[in-house]
Amino acid sequence: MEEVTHVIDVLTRARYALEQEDTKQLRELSDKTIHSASVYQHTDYILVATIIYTLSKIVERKDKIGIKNWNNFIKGVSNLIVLAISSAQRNKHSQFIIFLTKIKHYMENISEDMKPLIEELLRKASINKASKVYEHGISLAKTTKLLGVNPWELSEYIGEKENPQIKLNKTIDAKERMRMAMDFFK
Amino acid sequence: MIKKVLILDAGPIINLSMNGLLEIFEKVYLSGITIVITNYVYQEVVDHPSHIPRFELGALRIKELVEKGVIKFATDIGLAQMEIESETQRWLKIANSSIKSDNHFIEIVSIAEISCIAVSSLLNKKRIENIIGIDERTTRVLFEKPENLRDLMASKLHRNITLYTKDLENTKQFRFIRSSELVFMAYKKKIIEINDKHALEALLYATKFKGCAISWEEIEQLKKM
Repeated sequence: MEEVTHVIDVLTRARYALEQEDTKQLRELSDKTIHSASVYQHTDYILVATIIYTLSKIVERKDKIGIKNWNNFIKGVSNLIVLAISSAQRNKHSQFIIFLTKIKHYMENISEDMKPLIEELLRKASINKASKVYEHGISLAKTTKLLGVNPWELSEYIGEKENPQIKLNKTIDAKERMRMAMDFFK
Repeated sequence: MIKKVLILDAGPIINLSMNGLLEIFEKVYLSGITIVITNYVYQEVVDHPSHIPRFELGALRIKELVEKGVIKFATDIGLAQMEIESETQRWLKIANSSIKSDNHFIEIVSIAEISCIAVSSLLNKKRIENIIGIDERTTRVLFEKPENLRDLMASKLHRNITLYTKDLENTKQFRFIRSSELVFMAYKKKIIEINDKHALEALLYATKFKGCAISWEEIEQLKKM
């Protein structure tokens, strides 16, 4: 129940941030959902995180993407968020998922020309969210299964990111591990 | 007669493939060490990327190594599929019942990574020397120093994390190396012949940039060895 309340809160604030075109706030809200996504691993939390992150990227590149009827686009997404929130408040879980999926499709189908671009943004958002789930301590293969991303792509992405928790990754001394390896391959 | 077995998770295979260093496996094989993977790992390194244009070539080259027998399936070295499955399920249950938050066990690892642990465990019972090659951090930390994983998750999730280590007591039997140790060994044994004083650091950086969980500090230590 606490988790549902959290998702409702995140979506409510995301709707406001979208209308304000506040990309920083959208990104932060997306990350907040990752905590729940890592612990409970519900696909809806993951979808919420991916959608909000993609919205932040669309708003950030608004001028470059050049969506016609920008106000209508924002209004359309905002209305679907309201419907998703309402479903969550009434504990209509399957309806909640339907509205989240509708938001994703609405973004993808805003225009035929932009479909590949939006699909690419959604794909990149999934990779970004996957890297966050991995940072939270979930294994790489488990993360790829949860997010539906490719381990090859995720390995490359996390390799290029600086991990602030790297000290906790260290379990035995690097020299000791190397000696063990050299001894094995002797 | 099998003497030593290198059990590979997907990470080092993907890493060396993306860095154009798959020849290391051929040389390891020629040195008499048996390299094995499980069906689950094969799916990640061959089946899935075969449908993605960007990674298709890498997948095909790995498939060829398997067809040539350089990389074998664990079942090819006398382990029964059923015993691998049963041991994998046993360790999967242990691993995914080791970290608890808000009265809820967090599923931290997947079947592919744990199947490597299962193969190692079975080989240990047969007293066959083995080592696991794994690049991702979670499995390695869980089995080598689980309290670090607890601390990492607590700091990231901002929640109390409880660690259940009762069934993780016999984990010292597992030994882990990463792509970074593989390339280091290959460099020192002149398997990789790049005649430049920066070759070793370049190799170590390359593994890091393709997902190997190694810190800059560790790289600096290795450069001095």
